[in-house]
Amino acid sequence: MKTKVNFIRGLHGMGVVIMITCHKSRAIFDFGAPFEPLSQIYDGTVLIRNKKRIKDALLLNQAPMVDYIYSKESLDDINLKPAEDNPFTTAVFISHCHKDHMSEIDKIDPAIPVYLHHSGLKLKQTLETIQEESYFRKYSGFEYNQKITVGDIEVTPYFSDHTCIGSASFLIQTEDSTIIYSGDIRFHGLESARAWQTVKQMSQHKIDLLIVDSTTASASAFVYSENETGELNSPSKEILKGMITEQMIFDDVRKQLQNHQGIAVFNLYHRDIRMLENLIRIAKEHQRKALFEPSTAYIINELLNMSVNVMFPDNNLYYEFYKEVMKNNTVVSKEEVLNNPNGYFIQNTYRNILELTDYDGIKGIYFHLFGEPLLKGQKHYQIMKNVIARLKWDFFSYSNLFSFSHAYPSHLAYYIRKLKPKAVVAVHSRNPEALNPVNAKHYRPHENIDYYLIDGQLIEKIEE
Amino acid sequence: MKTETVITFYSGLDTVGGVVMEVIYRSSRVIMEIGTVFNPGFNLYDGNVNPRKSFLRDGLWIDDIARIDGLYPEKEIKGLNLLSAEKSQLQTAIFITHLHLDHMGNMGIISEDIDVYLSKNAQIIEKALEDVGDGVFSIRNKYRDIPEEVRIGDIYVKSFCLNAESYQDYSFYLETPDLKLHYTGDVFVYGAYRENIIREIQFLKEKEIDILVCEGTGFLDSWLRQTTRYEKELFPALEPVQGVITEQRLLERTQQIIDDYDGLIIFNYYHREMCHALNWFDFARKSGKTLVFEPKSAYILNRFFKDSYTVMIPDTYSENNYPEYLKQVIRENNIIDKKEVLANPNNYLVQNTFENILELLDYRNIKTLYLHHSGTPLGDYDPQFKILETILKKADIDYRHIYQGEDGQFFSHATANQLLWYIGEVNAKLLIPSHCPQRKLLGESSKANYCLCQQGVAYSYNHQKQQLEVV
Repeated sequence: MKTKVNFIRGLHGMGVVIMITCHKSRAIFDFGAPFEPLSQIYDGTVLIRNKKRIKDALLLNQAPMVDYIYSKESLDDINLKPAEDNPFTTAVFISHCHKDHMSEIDKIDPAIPVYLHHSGLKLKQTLETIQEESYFRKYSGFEYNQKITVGDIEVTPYFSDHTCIGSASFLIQTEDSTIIYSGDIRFHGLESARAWQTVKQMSQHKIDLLIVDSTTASASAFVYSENETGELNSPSKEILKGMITEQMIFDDVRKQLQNHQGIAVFNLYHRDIRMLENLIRIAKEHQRKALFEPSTAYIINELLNMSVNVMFPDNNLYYEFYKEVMKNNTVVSKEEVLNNPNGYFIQNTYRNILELTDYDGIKGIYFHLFGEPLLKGQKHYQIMKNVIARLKWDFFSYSNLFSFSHAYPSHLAYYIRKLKPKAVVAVHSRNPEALNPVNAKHYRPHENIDYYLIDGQLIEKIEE
Repeated sequence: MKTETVITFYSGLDTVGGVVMEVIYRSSRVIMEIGTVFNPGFNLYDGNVNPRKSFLRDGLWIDDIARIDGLYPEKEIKGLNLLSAEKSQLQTAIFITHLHLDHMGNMGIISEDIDVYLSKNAQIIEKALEDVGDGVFSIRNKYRDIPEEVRIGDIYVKSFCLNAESYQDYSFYLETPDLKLHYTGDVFVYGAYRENIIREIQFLKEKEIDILVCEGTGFLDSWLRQTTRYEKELFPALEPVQGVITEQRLLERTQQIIDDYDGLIIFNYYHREMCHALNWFDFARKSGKTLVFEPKSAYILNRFFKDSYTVMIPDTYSENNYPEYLKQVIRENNIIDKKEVLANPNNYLVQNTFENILELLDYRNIKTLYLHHSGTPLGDYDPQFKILETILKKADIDYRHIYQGEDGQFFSHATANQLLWYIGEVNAKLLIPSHCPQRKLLGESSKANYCLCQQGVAYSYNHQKQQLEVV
């Protein structure tokens, strides 16, 4: 009766925050805001209150309401116990650098260590330089397979194949329990073999509780008929009908480029470093130069240690890091692209979508590769499509976000069967009950409750 | 007998706002208004897309800016199939009725070679708005004051100042050698407007004008649902019909709400509306409460009324990086701390604009009422209204829109009945409804001879048929 698990958030969607306590030690896993692009408070007009950013984040349900995490001063009039009075040895572990997993870490009191994989840490620091993330504190790095001790809790990060560099799953061991928190996982990416190898490694342990990313259990994410859902949920490592792999996406981009004469544009999420690497390669294969916006070029310089072609958008914005970008890359002008539209594979973010209007009249192709705006229901997504339609360009997008970034249900079932946990809890899903727990007991706990973990059972209240 | 005068509407016929009407007689041209219209399919400038240096070209591409020859500077439209202002043979002037974006949002991109007539008051407000970053995108900084009458080549223009307060509201009468036309701008018939509009009507009657271009906001579906609640048919009426209140009643009712409320009152008005600011000065004076403005609004008020106010600085500003206008506001006004408001909530009427909406979270532990006046988001059709509702709920703040009440609703334009009254009184030979998706209904209800113009089509006027004909 020593280990307690509290699912602070993320049992009904994104923004997972899990707290595991043992005696006077506390390890927190992930610390992001729920991903709700359709109901964003900060819509471009509402201003952030930097002085009260922590208070506002708590009241707006972005930062989780947890005692002993935030400084007394930052809490203002919020009724939480401040970090200054923290009786626990505490550390926070971040599975990867996507906002729904880490957006609130800059609000954690600097006395509490926050760990990211060293590549993720490098990405975070780079994002701070390009002002995509704010700098308020320092973070620590971890390596895969290297144990970190937080008082009575031991945490071992493992490789995970997600769409963000430095993604990790965590093995969490206390004196009476072993838990795995998967982070975000998938097994249809280019590194699926390595991902399955890691599962094998983790399966050496007797696992009491598996807390698993079940995003694809969200019914709306998949279009399968009733009689197909059985197969979809059965343990399998195969790629079933209708599933798309990372390789298939790149193959299709290749295929489209092969027959295309004219402008070619892609819109990706530039935290997916491997996709950047692949697109540079694909461009080269097609005698095109990959051409990036300055922010992404800077990320490539820092994370991939390579120089690229860069084009500066036609606006009045200037950032300090532009100097470095100009120094370390080849600057290409719009005129050069207009003179040789077949020579480039051009990145375009929604923020700079007006740049595309300069190519009006030229045949074009646009690959939506999971950049913003992400979801079809978003008004910005429709505006993006309207711009492409007015340009009379071909538009390609690849399935939905969830089936690209997260494990398919059949893979999840196989994953659970391999790990053989006594109990399983689905997180990061709007439809957690749809997860096939295989032979494990499927718990549906409530958020913000301390559960004792006793021999693979989650028990809310212990009778004295 | 067709006129040599040619009329073209470039936008704003079926939309609320965005009217751009061109009147050409030989080499003389007058353009009525140069507003923007809500363009949801290409609503790029909501904070998520970076405006570019080529703002004008981009605006033309996404249909935010009307494609009209001879208005824009050569260097901004190079390579486009559009005649620049420098190369135009026409003598052109643009007239703005009032300082609402749907009537003047694109005036800043007009070449300085073209005279843009904007009231002196509006110029003061626009300059202040530009100083605080809320002005129109602008490559020009000079506008001409609106004279009582002026000749633009062969076209005579007479202005009617319908509301001398605030930015001033105008309508314009145009006379070419073969046509008499009146352009209403936005019609309103209460308060300061009434006497002025009656004088205007008298003039137009005597002139026996050919064409009345009349706005039709009062015929919007949502408005009609309110104004026809108690009446089966639309009929002309100057006085408000049942369910509609006058401006005077609006002011009395709002005063009552303020006087009766035991707690803090937050208000949200459209800060370019000096009339509305005057209303709040009165509310505060009569209730014995202190008005507290946000810095941007205070800056505009300082410039317009040349007076000083009580100001609270929202936490959205970074202390080490105050913009110039804020430094000036601090010098010119009495700055108070939020602690003072929290300690004595009954003593204050505190302004809150949508961009500073998170300030409301600080009032969640005191009884607070949000009095919505004319500030954005205007209604539940605006996605930002959902955000407003979310914050009010989180802050446990009561909400009330001052235009809505048990004894009736207030409308910021003439209602359908009032428009019918106005159209009947002016008695033009031809009515051109504009500025409303329901303009056909307006035309039919008016029982006048009307024409539904098409956008981008050039028309002349046939005096015998009393109709427009495509040129």
